[in-house]
Amino acid sequence: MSKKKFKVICSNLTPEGTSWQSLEKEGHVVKNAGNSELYETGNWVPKKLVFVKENCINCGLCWPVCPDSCILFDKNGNMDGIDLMHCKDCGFCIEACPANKNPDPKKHALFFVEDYQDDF
Amino acid sequence: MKQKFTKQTELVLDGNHSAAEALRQINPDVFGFYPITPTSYIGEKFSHFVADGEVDTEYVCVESEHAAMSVCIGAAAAGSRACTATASQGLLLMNEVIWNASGMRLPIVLINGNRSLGAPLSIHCDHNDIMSVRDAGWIQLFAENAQEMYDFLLCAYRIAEDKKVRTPIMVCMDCFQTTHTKINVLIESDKAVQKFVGEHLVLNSLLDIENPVSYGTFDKPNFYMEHRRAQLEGIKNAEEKTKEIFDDFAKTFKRGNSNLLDEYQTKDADIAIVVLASTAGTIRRTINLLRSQGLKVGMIRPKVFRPFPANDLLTSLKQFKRVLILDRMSPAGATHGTLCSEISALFYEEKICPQIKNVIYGLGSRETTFEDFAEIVRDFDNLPQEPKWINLRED
Repeated sequence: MSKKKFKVICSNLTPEGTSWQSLEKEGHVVKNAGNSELYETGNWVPKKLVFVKENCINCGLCWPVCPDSCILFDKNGNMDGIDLMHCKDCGFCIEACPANKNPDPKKHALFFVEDYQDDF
Repeated sequence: MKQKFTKQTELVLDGNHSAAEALRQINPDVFGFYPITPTSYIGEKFSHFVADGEVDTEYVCVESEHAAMSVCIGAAAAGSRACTATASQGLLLMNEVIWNASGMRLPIVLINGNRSLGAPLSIHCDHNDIMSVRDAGWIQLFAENAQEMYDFLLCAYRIAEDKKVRTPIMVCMDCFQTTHTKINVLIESDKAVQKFVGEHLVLNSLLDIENPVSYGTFDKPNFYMEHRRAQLEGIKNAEEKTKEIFDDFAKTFKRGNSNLLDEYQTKDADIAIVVLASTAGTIRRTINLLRSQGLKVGMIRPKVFRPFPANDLLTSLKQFKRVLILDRMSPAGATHGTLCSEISALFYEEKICPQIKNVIYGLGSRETTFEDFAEIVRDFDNLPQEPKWINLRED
């Protein structure tokens, strides 16, 4: 487990102790789109994804393949980093990255580093 | 969509065909279908309508009934009118997902041809399949014949989609006895049907990105009971709403009535026979025969099984001294058939209770004639307390 405290907070959840009469009348749906934004799934992963800004060519090809919207951009549209709180280590961005096609691993922009917990 | 019938038309149709015609006129958005005897013909006929451009429906050929219902759930959650048709083993394969449909309160219409269950494999009629899903939280209408099947289907979406109900609905007919038996069916004009059924009231659509919602979420023990209780309100309200819509149907199309019970010759009767679905026709003939011999017998046929029309049944059955309940299902470990158990329970708090006897008949379409039923009614006082199986070969 991470050293960080595990927190589950969701502002859209029905408050604890709500009566059945106060639940949604038209069925069991969560309105205002319940999401897991505050659920830090990045805590689970065994590896850490590393981003090297100097090697990045800002093509943006990693962004559409990320299932968890973890690719972050700055105001100028340049890639800024990775949201490690939600990255689940799927590695799709590593596959998509053109900079990673370089045979020299030192020129790669995205790669995994083992032993994530101590580093975090 | 082109108009096929511009005025009320009388056609010779079987239950499947009349159901397909009703669906064509309703023009649902999605039809997820996997063929199974006896309702394959609904899908076959409806696929013709799709191919001929008579409907705008998305016809999804799936790999199993489980997938068919899953397609309907997804489509209904996205805000479309979804429907499917199945029977027997298919309904049981759907069993896992139909609970999701009722839990998420999605107004899906399912047409079922009540068929017996294996083993031994049988493609003939009884009510074991539909009774096995009676607690899934769906509304269940039992049609007597092809005409009623057509009429119920026109009402089905209106009942299910009502804001107070929002509960999926099963419209059931008996395997072969209704699905494959042709009778004269009055088909209303396409325009009148579309006006009666009306526009689909879309609530909590998954595709509405301005107002996003989540379906199929997880409940911990602190909320599961509350959600189950809240779900119950829909099916409770359905009883009143069904009456209201049956009434509107009767006023619009000048046939039928708002009652949840179909009564025949009950005014002066001593013995009441309670029966579901197509056997009502046989029982009417039984009653005619017995009345010609001086025995006062009447019939009560619930059109709706879920929500159970408890008050109506209690009020009607109170006036009789003897009640014979016909169950077309194997009690399988219970003391009596489902219909008998539930009706008997109504009288628990009543001071005067009629003498109730239970009969099991017609499993796997065992032939049971009106004379067999007449024999049972004549012999009422000598019937055993446990269910009597009619036409069962015994030593």
